[in-house]
Amino acid sequence: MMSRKRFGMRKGLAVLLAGVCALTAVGCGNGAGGSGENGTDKSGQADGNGNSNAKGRYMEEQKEMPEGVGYLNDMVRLSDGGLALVDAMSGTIHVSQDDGDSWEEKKVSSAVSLLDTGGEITSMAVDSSGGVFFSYIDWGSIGTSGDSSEDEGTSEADDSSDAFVVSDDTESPISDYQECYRYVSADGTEKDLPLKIKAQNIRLEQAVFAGDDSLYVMDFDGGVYAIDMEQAASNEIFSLENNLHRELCASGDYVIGVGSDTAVFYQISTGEQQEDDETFNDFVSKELSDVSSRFRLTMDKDGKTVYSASKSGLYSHVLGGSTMEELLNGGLCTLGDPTKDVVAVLANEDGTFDIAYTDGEVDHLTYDPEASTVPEQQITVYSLNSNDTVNKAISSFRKNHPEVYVKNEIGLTGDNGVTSEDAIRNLNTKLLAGEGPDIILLDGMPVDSYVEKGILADLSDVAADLKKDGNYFTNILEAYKGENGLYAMPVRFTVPMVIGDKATLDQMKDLNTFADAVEKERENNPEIESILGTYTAEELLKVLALTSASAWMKGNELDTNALTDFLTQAERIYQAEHKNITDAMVQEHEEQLARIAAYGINRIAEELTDAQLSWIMMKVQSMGAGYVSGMDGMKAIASFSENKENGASRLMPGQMQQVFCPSGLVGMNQNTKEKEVAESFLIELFGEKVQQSDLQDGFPVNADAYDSFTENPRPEIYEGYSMSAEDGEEVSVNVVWPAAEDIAAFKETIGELHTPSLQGGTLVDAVLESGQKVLEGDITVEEGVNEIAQKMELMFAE
Amino acid sequence: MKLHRKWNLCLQSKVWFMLPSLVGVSIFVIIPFLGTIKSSLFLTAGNLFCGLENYRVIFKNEAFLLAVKNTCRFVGICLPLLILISFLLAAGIYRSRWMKILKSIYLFPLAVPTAVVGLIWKMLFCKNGLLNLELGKLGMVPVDWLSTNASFFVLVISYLWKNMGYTIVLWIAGMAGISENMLEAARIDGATEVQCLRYMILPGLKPTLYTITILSFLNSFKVFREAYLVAGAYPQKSMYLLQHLFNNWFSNLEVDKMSAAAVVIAAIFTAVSLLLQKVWEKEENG
Repeated sequence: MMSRKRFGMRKGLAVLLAGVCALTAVGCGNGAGGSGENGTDKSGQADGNGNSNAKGRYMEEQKEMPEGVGYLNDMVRLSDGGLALVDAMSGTIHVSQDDGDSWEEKKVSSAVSLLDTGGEITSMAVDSSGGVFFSYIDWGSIGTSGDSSEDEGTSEADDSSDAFVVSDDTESPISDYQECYRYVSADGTEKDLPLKIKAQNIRLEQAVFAGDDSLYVMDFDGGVYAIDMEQAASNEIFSLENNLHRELCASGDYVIGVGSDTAVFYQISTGEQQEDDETFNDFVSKELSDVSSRFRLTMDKDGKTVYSASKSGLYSHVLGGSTMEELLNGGLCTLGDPTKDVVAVLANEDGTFDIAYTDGEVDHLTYDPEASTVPEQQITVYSLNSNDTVNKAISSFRKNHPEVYVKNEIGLTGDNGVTSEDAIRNLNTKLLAGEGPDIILLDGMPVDSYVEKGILADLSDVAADLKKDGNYFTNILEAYKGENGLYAMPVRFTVPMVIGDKATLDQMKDLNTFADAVEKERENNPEIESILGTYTAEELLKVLALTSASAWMKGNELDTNALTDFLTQAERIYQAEHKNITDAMVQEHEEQLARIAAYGINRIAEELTDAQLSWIMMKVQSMGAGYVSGMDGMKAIASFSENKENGASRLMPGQMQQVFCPSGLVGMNQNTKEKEVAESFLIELFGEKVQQSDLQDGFPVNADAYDSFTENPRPEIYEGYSMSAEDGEEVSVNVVWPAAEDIAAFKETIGELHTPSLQGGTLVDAVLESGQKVLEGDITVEEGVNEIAQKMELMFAE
Repeated sequence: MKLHRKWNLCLQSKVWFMLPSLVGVSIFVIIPFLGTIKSSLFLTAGNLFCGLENYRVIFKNEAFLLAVKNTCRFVGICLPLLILISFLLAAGIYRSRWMKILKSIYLFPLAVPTAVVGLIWKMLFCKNGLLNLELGKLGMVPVDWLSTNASFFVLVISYLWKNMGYTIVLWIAGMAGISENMLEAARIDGATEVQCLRYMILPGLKPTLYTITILSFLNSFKVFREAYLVAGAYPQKSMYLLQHLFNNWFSNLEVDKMSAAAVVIAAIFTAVSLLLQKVWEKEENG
């Protein structure tokens, strides 16, 4: 009896375990298996993201672009139903009576003539009748006297005893000016407005008309004023002072001020501010974490719901409510394009939206209840950090392939404490499970391991297709070509350069002569603060590593001789560089970095920018070194030669020569289920249209795009500034665009670059860590090399 | 009647009580582990069957051997030290009127977040850190604690500091379980304090010792978090533990080697646990 009972129990246990195994096997099964080998299931879904049955999406329709747009400031709906685009840069209003299918240009004659005589329009707004308000500074009439009272156009303003007062005691006349205001009604009648806002040097940032055509302006200090145009009076209604980001919108009965982390809703009819809306403020704070972001708002007819348009998409929010509703993701419309800045959003009564961008593009969004929430076909692009070129390619690809949704997955969002190693481990888990992204941006990732483990697909065919259809810098495009194929291609690249006195640069051939030159510069300039403008050992090592890191490995082994030489020369440079740098200077430098970081600008020590140009001109440093990532860097180099006698630039010498730094190293998942789409995306990514945009993340590998990339978008604009040098001398700097021959010469130089810089990874990290100790004198060069070698030994042993 | 009897038999069966944990362990441990065994027999690249090649590779892998050596050394030094010191401290504060306060003080390190601990270690043990500052005052030469072999002892100190309080509390709980009446009776019968300790208290603390040994052994693997935060993925050689190796292997997708090493380590752990259990049971029965 007992034995039968035990047998029964064992049998039950066996059945139970078998059941558990079966259940788990089902749970562990490859999702793709359930949906067929080709990745499609019965419902036609290929993405497996669970959105198969969800319907309803705003569909974007691009309207005809008006011609000759300089820079749009606003878009408003006129009382007759037309659309008006405000272009302050050219003093023009573009009006459409057919919802953007055609545009009529209306020049504001007084604004145009002002611009023609060197004046500047600081803000411009259009009311519902078509009347135009604009504020301006007539630089042409200020001249050198600092007296603008002769300006005829502002006679009314000058007659007023309370008009802006030009200070008499300033040395530089250009620092004092008088901003004037004018309203041009729809029938062309012009009226100067002697507005009283502040006593001196006011400059409006924005002007908007509310639903009742009352005017509101925001000054450069963040003060927002209601303007009574009849009485020429102003009344401050609220302030966005102390906000790094400020925007002013008006819609219906509301004037809305947007600060870095707050939005102020001012109701015109009651004259009161609405209570703080925590949900909306949190949203604003998140959207504007990058200070250069644009964020535009509009209200619905009832004034209960606010709509926002920004890079992340179109959102709605019921005032006082607790949720933000995403109406359209930025990745599914032009809002997500990093080269586009939204300038206005209008909520129409029929439930559609119109969105305008600074370059004149106007898109009409209509809700289609039958469209899938996201396009059914999907590919995923994964990168550790957001990449603007990829974002641009996604936006461009979406327009050409509306049936495909390109999901952009970012590993390091910065708001969840995930480190790059965590992100890579998460990615590896997905890759091993066969659910990895289709396209991977390999910057900061273990590329060699991925190639070795067969994770990446051979891109030789893609490269061949690219070369068939266009000209590429093949030395860069195929820099990672190995014996077994091409598994990674750089989307962009930066070029390490050095600027300084021509005679000095001529002596610099490698790292040793680089160190000689820096020591000589120190001898010749014993009083100067620094030579290369680096303030810490880490900053200097990062700069020098750009052109030397590739020399530290000999085959699969660490080259300790090269490493010893690097640290020895780096130590020499550090000694010369830091002779006059005190702890207080380092602290001040770090505080300065923190200050600019608050503006969302992370100054990278190893990037050669116009900041280095300024410091050289101010005699704070004598040379500059770092990578050049776009036309801003090229401008800095050209301006250096323009402003500095015997100023010149060269490729930065190091332990390796002819070095470039890949930016956006892209690979394709070997197991992608959407190979064709992924390849099409790569073609788009490397295509001329995407590559010609200068997004400050590197030069294009597409040689055809280089010409458009290097073209001056605004040749009419003069750039320059003046400042006081260390010795008190007034220094003026002309910022110039590189000459055509320099651009052509640089293109040739690019064609000769052959060594990709080793970026990040265990070796570079170890050199930065131990090298810092060497430079600061904590350990000797030999000890530093041993420390690095020991770490690398562990890595190689693994 | 017959049905009722069968039903009762079923109810009495332990299977039903085992069921929830059995399902959980199967899903989260046994089946994934079977998958790991399978992975250890295949190459990651190409997913090709390679037999025991991965096992051969790891036993020739210097990083693996170093990590095993360091981990064994760490456990071999830390475990006895922790058990002994915590026992002495527990015996010292047991029945003390300050016991409650002292217990809280000893438990404090457990409440400190790992990230903070990492920061504190850096401040304490870097070459220009607080420890060297104090040593310098005593005329001693500064030591680069984190970049020399001394880093191993930083790890030992970190482990002892973090786990001491918890272990003391376990000892005190074990001591509280020994009957005061029995000890009193022994003393009346003429037993000395040493005899009480030798023949009554220590044998009574055997189950506690078993628990402490197993828990301390498992906790010894958690010291990786501090080591990683202080010295990163590639620390000084003497600080390089098995977890560093597994972490780096996973980042580099060396799943084949990682699986083989995991199977070997799991086999060793199981053998050690069973051995300990057997020794304990033998002593209990003997």
